[in-house]
Amino acid sequence: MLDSVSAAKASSRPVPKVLLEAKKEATMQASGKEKPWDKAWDKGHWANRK
Amino acid sequence: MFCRSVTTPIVKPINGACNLSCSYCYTSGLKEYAVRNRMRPVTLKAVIDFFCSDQDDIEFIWHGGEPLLAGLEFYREAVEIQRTWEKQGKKIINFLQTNATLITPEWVRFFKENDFLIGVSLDGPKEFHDQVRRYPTQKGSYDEVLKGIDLLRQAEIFNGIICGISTVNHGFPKEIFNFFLAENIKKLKFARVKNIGYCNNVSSLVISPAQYVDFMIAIFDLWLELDDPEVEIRDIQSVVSLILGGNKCECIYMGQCDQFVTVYSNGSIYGCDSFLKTDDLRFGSVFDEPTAVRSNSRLQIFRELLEKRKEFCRACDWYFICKGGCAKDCYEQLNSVEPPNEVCKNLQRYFKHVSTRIRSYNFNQE
Repeated sequence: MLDSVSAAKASSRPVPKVLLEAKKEATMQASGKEKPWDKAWDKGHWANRK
Repeated sequence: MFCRSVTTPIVKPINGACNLSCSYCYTSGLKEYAVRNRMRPVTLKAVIDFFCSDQDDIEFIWHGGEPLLAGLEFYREAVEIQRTWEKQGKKIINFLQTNATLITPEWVRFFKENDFLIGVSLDGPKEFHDQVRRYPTQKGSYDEVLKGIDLLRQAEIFNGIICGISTVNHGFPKEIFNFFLAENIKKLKFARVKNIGYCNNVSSLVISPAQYVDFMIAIFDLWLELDDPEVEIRDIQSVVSLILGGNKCECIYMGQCDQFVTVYSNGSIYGCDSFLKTDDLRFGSVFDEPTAVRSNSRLQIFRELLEKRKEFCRACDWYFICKGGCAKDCYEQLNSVEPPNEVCKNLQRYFKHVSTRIRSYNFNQE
């Protein structure tokens, strides 16, 4: 696995909202805070991963 | 890390039968077979019973050809059979991938009432779409597809687009991205046109790994520049999620190709439909015991192959994203263990680009 994304070379530009959302979601997933249903299933657009 | 352990059936009630005749259709070789062999009610019941009997959460992916050709009554019956399992506590989701040309208000009512999730195939602007997604008369299907999407949208059951990327449209990422935004279509997935082996003339439409990655990098940059959280691009957000330590991902980054199986109209169970329908990947039938299918020797051989591939790839810096990659797209032969260098080189280029862009921001200061 690569190093953390908060690497030293990072700039001071504001982080795009889409990346902030992704980071928030990734942190939730990693911490296991998702509800069981959310964890086991994707909804809507993400339902069909194939 | 969370992994879904369930088996996800891709059900083809009419096999490859379709009202369209798309240039790159990978199931058209199954058409003739399908017309004579629409899934019978007894097989439909066996399909649902098979997958519901030993799983608590089941996602049925109704696929084709064009799955609406199975008719509304077919799906009404499917839902009735599913209801008996839901009463026993099973959680069931139905996803249907359609070309949208046959969508009517009646279909929409049914989908809405029964919580079906509907995905539509649309290859971008009319000038691209109509070159490849055509009726047998050679007339393009774009106008009817957009009408179908409108009906789904009005009922709020439109769940996004799968956009095929071929030699026709791969050079126009910006035009395609802007087109979808202009049409207010914000949930997207881009899928490479596959050369599965049923058709002889598909090769001229299949793009190279380098062309695919060039396209995806351009789309990623456009998505990042737009910065609209409502715009969801599954294949890109999968890579982003994995780089950020999450696990929201498409099947191509799950490393679990054995999780997806295809059920044909006679109830036979094969591997993912990205593969040619070959005996090597025939795992059994819905009329068999689920335990017998899960322990089928061909399935075991397939799983061993996937493990060998993962073992080969494990040392790669980007293994945590691709996990050996799509078992079909990333390998030359079904029994290949090593992916071609061209595939790896380009995927690495894609992952590195996305990772570098993400790392250029300081998340700690937010």
